[in-house]
Amino acid sequence: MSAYVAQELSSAPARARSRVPATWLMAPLLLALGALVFYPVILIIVRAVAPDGHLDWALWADTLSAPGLLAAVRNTAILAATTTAIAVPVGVFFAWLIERTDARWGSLSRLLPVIPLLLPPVAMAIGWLFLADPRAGFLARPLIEAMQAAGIAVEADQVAIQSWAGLIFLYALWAVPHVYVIAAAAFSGLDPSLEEAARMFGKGRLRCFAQVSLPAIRHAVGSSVLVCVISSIGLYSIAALIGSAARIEVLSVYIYRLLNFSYPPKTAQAVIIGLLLMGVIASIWLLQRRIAARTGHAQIGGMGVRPNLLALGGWRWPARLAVLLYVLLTSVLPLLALVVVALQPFWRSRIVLADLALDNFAEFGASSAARDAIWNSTMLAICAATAAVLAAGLIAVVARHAGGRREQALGIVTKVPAAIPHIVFAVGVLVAFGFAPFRLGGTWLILLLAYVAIYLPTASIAAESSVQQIGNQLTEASRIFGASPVRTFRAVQLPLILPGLAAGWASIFALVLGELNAAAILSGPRNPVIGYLILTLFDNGTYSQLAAIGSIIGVVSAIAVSAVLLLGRPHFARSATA
Amino acid sequence: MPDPVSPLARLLSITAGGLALAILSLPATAQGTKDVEQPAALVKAAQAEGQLMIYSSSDENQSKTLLAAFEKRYGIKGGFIRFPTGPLMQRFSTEYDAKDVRADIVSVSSPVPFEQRPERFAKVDQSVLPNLGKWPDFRTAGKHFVWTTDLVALAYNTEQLKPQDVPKTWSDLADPKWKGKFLLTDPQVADNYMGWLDAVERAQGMELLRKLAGQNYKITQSGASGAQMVAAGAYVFNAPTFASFSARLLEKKAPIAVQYLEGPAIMSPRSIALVADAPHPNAARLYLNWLLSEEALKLTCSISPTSLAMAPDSSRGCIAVRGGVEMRFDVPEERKRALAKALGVAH
Repeated sequence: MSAYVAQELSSAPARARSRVPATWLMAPLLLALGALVFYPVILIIVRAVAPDGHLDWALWADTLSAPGLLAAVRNTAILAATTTAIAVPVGVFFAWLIERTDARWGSLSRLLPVIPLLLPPVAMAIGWLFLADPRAGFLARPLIEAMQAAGIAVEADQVAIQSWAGLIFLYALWAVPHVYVIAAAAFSGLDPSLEEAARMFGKGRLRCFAQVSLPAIRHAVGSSVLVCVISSIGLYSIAALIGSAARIEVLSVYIYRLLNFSYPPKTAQAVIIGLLLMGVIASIWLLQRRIAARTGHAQIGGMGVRPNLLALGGWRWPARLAVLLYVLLTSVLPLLALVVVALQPFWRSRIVLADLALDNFAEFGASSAARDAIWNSTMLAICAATAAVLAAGLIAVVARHAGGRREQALGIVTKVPAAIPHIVFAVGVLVAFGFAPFRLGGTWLILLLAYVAIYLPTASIAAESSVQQIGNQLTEASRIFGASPVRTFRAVQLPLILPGLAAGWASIFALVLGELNAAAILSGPRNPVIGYLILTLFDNGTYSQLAAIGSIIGVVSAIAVSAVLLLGRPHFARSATA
Repeated sequence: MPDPVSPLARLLSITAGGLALAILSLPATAQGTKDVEQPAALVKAAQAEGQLMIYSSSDENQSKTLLAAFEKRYGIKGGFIRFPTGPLMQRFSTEYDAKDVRADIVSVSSPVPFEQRPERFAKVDQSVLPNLGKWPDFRTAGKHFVWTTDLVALAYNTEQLKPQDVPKTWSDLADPKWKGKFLLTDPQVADNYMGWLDAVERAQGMELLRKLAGQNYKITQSGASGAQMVAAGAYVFNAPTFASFSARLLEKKAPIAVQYLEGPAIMSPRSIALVADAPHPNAARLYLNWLLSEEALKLTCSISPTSLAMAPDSSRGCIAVRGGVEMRFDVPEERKRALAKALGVAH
């Protein structure tokens, strides 16, 4: 693929319809999608909501009038809105600094903002608890004691992380890297000529960012908003550990309660809430598409230029320090806290060097089940992330060719799993594929199928963002030179959307490694995964063991995600930083 | 692997002073200690099956240790899946409905799963499990029996609290001196925490719950997390909880101890059952009968602090249970909501 790309800034959506009919690609894709996503979803909806073949409206009324649901919806809406309002600007700004300005220093800096992505949310929440608990936190306790010694009247509860502020902080912290990878992928393919022109016409650096760079990746910003909203609605671990302690109940915890904390599980109620969420997510997706289509965005075209980084001048080092400070506060400190507690026999706020040992790591090393779980999860994460992003990439390209309502329909169906609680979806997958005739229960393959479907929305959002950036000049040129649609996808479109797919791959890899709820249904002694291990430790183990497994996941994720994000760079970026 | 005896002994010595309850009256005939082995033909058939699968919500360490001892005795390898009751029974039900039964034995606290769908479980009586003759009749229910009982407890930080200052009754938790200092396990997370709340309200009334609601406590969703937070010094104590959550921390010499509260002392029973149409029915019968043998009973009490449903004394190294009330698992939904609301954990 040529290293040279150019852009066209369209004010209307470029409907890049190839004359090659896309329907032949649509049929097998829809069939596969139907089997993987809709078959389990329909099975579980029918079993839960209409077990006797007809809808029971009283069940809907009971579900929607249940005490606590309204508060959970309100809290979730506040959390999703504030998380998005904080994480999207921060993530996009950091992506711009790293990808478009000379604040970047070497390949390493591209990976800094994604460090929080390397930890599963449960490990991140616990890491922050180790740091910021007002009475036992490594940071908070000495800080409060110092303030009190200095005569400042401060009570532990006033600065507790178990509060709205702490919850929003952790949600935003978790969401920033997900925004960053999407925005960075978009910025990396952006032609710098517009920014250079703006600079020549006397625009300041921040104006250049706000008025030129940002509008050019508008679609990626929209995708980031979508990712933030969907992730905030579905995130469980942080809400359970931090929010519940402060009596802030959100929808994910509410649904988890319905399924896990009552017998028999209230699956029907969880499915009903999932169906309503599906409608909300589809509406947000359509809204985001409409706004992006109306306002236009930059596209990669057929003419090439080499990117030049915007010189920040005196702001270069302050910008770098801002990124480093962010990484220190949000990633290095919690990771350090996790490692320290992993070395302690149990979590203590006082660090005694003589107590530190590798016992918790040795325990995992000695356990064949733990070794199997780490190996299985790593392989599953690689395969699920690869399969999901390739499928999503293909679907996004085909959908764009199809255009109109078919594009919209494909966009919505790929988001369906985002609205179904993982544990409910996993039950659907078990019913669909676990028994005769497939008999995949207890196997590695059933987990793979579930994870591909569950994380299809994440992959799809990343892929759509990338595909929207590709103009039709290159695909038209490919067609004119006689290339088949498959060859055009493989040789032209795939290399161009690769950075976006790599971003989606990184997110999914990290998410699969730390996934808990589907593991509860589909994993077992024959196919153990890390989520199974975490759930067991969360209920019966110690925080030190959890910290050890969190640190191991961090290392595995760091290697895999760094490799893919570096390999997924555009060719010109590789040569620029080499 | 640290020696589990010393922390357990420490725990037992701590609890000894806290218990002043009357011995439960049991039929004398039910308390024999002589083991009755399964017939040789069943042992042979079980060994031919060669394996066993247990679905359990109990402590992982318990299943692991007991299965290892069983394997050593009979050469049959056992596996287990450990999850909270909700997802565990959802998984079991899905497999059962698909006629692809994988569990041989199911063990959860609540008897409700066994009572709601008795057809999914096999008969358990003395003809099936000869050692069940030791068990009192009121602990067996045809399709399941109560294996162990655990006292609901409070875990406290020994660096922050002296034993004499620790709350001794549930009413003591409402003392204003504990305001903002303790961690409450959310009773909505499991049937046996809700059973605790129900029992406290029956004994002390809603007024106590309302007083507790004003104590500005923090909430944890898991007893294991609660014990960690107390050991770290984040909270003075955590309640309600079970002693097994502190056992691992005690092994590591964490500053944590357990106090069993009265007013009333509340017991959580654990039930166990044989699965109908189990893939390894003979191995399951052999295991369950062995579980009731003297060897297994002593081992059970040495793994984590618990009491045997058939012997409420401290023989075999178990926690003595004298008096108290057994929690109920059939709390109606409306009452659950009202109790949670009064306690301030739900809207």
